[in-house]
Amino acid sequence: MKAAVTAIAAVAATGVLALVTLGSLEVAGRRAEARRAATLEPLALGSTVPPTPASSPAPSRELCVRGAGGYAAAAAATLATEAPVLHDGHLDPAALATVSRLAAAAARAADRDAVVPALPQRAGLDPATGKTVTPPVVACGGGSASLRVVVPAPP
Amino acid sequence: MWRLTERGDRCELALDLGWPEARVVVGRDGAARCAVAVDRDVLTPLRPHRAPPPRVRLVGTAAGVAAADRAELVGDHAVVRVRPGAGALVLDGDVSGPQVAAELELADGVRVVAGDPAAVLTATPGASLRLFRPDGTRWRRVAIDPGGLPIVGTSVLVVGDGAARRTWLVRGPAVAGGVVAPLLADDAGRRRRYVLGGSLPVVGWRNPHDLDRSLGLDGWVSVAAAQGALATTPVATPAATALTWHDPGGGDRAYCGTLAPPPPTEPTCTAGADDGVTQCRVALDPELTARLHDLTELVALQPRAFTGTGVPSTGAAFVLLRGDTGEILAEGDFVPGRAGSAYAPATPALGRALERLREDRDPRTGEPVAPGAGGESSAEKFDRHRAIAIGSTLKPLVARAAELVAPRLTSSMWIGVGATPATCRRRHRAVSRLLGHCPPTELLGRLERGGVVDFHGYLARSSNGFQAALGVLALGWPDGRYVLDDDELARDALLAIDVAALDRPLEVLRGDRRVVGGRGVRLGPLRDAPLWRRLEAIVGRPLCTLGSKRACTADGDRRDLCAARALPIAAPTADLRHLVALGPSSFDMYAPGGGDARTVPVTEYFQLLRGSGVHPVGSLAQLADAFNRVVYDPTEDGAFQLAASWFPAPAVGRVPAACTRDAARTETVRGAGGGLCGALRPGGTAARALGDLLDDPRVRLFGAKTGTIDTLADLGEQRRRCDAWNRAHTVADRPARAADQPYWLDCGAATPDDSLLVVAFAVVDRDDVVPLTLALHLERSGKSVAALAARHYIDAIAAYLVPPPVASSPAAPASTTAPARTP
Repeated sequence: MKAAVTAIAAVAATGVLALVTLGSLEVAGRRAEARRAATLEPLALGSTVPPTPASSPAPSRELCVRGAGGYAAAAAATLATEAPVLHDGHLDPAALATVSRLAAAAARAADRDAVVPALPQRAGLDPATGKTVTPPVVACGGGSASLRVVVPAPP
Repeated sequence: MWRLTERGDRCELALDLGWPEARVVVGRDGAARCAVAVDRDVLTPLRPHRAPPPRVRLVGTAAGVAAADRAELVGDHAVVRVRPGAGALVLDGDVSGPQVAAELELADGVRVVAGDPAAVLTATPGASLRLFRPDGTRWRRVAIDPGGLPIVGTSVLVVGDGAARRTWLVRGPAVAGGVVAPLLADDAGRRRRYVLGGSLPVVGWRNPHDLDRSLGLDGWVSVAAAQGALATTPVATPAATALTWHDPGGGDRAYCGTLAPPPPTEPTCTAGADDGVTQCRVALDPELTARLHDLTELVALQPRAFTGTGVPSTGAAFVLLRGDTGEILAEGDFVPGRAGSAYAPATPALGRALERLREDRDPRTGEPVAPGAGGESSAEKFDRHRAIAIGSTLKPLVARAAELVAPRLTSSMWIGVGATPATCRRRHRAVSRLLGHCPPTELLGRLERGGVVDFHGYLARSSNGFQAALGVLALGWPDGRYVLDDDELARDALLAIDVAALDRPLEVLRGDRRVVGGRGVRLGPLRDAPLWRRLEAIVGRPLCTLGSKRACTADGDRRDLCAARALPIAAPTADLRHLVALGPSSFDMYAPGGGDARTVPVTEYFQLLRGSGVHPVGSLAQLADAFNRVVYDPTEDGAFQLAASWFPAPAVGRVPAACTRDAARTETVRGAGGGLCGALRPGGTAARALGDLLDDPRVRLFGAKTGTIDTLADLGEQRRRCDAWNRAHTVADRPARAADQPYWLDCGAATPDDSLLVVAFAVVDRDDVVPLTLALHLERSGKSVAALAARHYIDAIAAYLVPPPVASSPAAPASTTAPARTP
C-alpha cells in the first residue's frame, strides 16, 4: 500500500495527475471518515504532450471550412475522392461514418486552444453592428477559407 | 473618478468603485446601457455556501455499432472507443475528438487491443506505464501480467515518462462482454469535462457559480443530484400524471401535459460503479447523433446531390425516437453559417466564453456588450424547442383522433367537389368554400377535384379538403348536431358530401352548445368535444385558452418538460429548461392581435388544421413524439402512455403490422393497408421516395406522412421584409448578389416551401426488430426534399444499428508490430 501511495504522490507532484489518495496513512480522524464515505476523487486528465508541430512528418488532413458549410462539409470535401458519401445517388454509410469521425476530430482539434468556439459565424448579421458578419479569412487548400484545421489523416 | 473611453460608435463611462466597477455605455443612436461589472470568481465565495452537487458521470447510450465496443479511453482531448474490426491508431498529442480503433498504441510498448470478449492492455518489458484500479475509496496500482490485462471496470492509466507522460481514464464494461456506455460529461480535477464538446450541445453545462442556472442535460442531472432526486431506484420516480413542477410565473404545472407515461422500470442513475461514482444515462447515442447531424448538414447544403431536387435549406433538423419507448436516440440540426455551438464546452476557456455569452458579455474580453447588441450570439443559438409549421404532418394526428372517437364514421366518410363550387374571396382571390365556411387559402386541389377522396386516400395522398372537412364534421361526433340556417342535417348524410357545395356555413353543435358557428369556433365547447379531447391527448399538450397568442406564447415557451420526467426537478429555472424542454407546453389558434378569448374565427381553425406557421402546433421533436404515439401507442381510451424521453424509458408501445405492397386497402390510419402505409404504396405521397423500401429485408415500414408548407410565401411578397431576410441570410465569403447567395429569396416571386417527413419503421436485427420514428424538417428546401432525403437517413440508421458481424481480433501479444497511424 505504501508503495502505491508513494507512486501516486510522485505523479501528483508533477502536476500531471491531481489524484488524491483517499484513506492514505497520513489522513486521520473525521476527515478520513468523511472521505471514506465519499467517492474516489475525480482525475484531471492531463498531458504534458504538446501538439505535434505543424512541420511534423506525420500524415495529416487539411480541412477548409468555406461558405456556409461546417465541419462535415469540409470533411466530405477532403475525403471526396477516397470516401465519397454518395455512390450513384445512394448513401455509403461507411463513408458517412468516416466523414463524421473526421469532422468531429476537426471540431475538437480546432477548439483545443480556442477562447471561443473556433468555427466562426459565416453568414447573416453581426448582432453588434447589424451588418453582414466578417469571418476571418485564412489560406487553405490553395484558396481561402474561414477556418483551417489540420488533423491526422485516415489510413 | 470617471473614465471615458470611445469605442467605435459608442461612448463608455466607467466609475471604478474599487470593486465592482459601474459602467454607462451610450451609443450614437441614443441607446444607453448601465452595467455593474463584477468578477464572478470574487463573488462566488460570498454567496451562501451550498454544497457542491455529488459527482455524477453522465453517459449516453451505445445503441448500435458502439454496443460492441470493448472499452473507452478518455484523454485530455481525445476519446477512443476500442472497436473490433476498426483500424489501428497511434495516440500522440495530435489526436483529438472521438476516435475508434481495434488496436491502439498509447506509448512505446503500451497497447490496447480489441480482444474477445474484452479489450486487453499489454506492455512490453520496460514500458513506462502505471495502472490504477479503484479499491474501496483508494486508487490501487495493479501489475500487468505478461499476457496482458483484460479491461473491465474503471481504471486510470498513466503512460510515458517526462514530457511524453499522458493520463487516460480507461472505461471497460462492468463484466467482460458488457456494453460500455459512451461518456458525455464527468468531473476531471476541479472542472467539469464535456468530452464531445459543442458537437452535442444538448448536453449543456454545469454552471460552477450558480447551479440552478446550469444548462442542458448535464445541468439538469446535476441539479437533480444536488436535490437528492436521482432515481437510483425506479420506485423513486412517481407516475408522470402526479409529477408537477413549480413555475414562479405560472404556479404548478404538469410535467407531461395530457400524457400519462409510466415511471421508469429501471433506474436512470446507478450508484456505486466500481469507483463509487453515480452514473446517469441519457438515451442519446452520440455516435449515431453525430452521423445523422453530419448527413443533415450535407443534405441541407446540397439537396440536389442527395435528392435530385430542391434548393439549399436555411435550416434543417432531425429527430429519431425509439418507437416502443419514446427514447430520444438522436436529434440535431444544422443552420448554414452558424458559429460552432458554445454549449457543452470542451475546455475551460470555452466554458468561460459560454459563461460570458450567457451574461451578455464579450466572450473574449468579458466586457459588457454594446447597447442593443445583447441578443443571442450565433454560438448561443438553439432553436430546437421552437414550434414550427408542420403542414400536412398534422393530418395523422387529426385522423387518429377522429378514428378513436368514431371508427365507423371515419371508415365511411368521403368527400368530393362538384363542378361549380361555392366561392368566397381572400386577398382579392376567389377560394372554394369548405362546408360553407371561407378558408384562408384554397384547400381544394386536383386531388379533390379529380374524384372522391376517402379516409385512406386522405392520408395516402394528403387531402387538405378532407382534413378541413373532417376537422369540422368530426367535432360533432359521435352525438352532435349539424345545422344549416335553421335546418338540421342528419350526421350520416354528411359522410358523403360535396364539401364545396354549400354557400352558407354549416354549424356544429353538441347538445345546446355551439362548437362551430357561422363565423367562429368556440373554444370552451371545442375542448369538450370528443374529437378535440383525443387530439390533445395525441398531441400531448392542451390548447391554450389564455386569450391571446402573445399570452399563450409567453406562458408555454420551453415548458414541455415531459422528456425529463425520469429525473423530476421541483422548480427548474428558465436556464435549466432552455435546452431540455422539447417545445411549448401548449398550442393555440388565436388570431394575431385578436381580442376574443373565447371564440376564434373559423379561418384560424382552418389555419391550424393545415399545419400553418400562423398557428404552429409544436416543435419537430414534439411532432415526432405525437406521430410515435399514432403508430405505436396501443391506447384507445384515456391518456396515452408513450412519450418522448431524454432518459431510458420502459417499452409501452406495440409494433404494428408492417406495410406491404399487397395488403388490402383499409379505411384506417394504421395497419398494413391503412392510410399511413398508403402514403408509401403506389400513388402515395411518399411512394416515389421510399416505396422501394417495402421490398428491403433490412427494414419494415409502418407508415409515413409528408408535409409541405409555404412558411415564407408572405415574406417573399413583401419587399422590405424580403430584403431584410436576404441581408440576414448573406453568406460572408461570397459576392452579395442573388446568383452567388444560395439563401436569398427571389423577392416578388414564389418562394420554395418547407419540406417535412415523419416515418415509422423498424430495423430488422435477425429475428428482432428495433422500432423507430424519424422526423425531418428542411426549411425552404422545396417540396419532397425531406421524403427523398429520408432514404439516406434510413440507410445510415440501419447500418449503424445493425452492423455486419465483425470477427474480433484476438488479444495480440505485446511484441507484435506497431500499428500504423490512423484516425
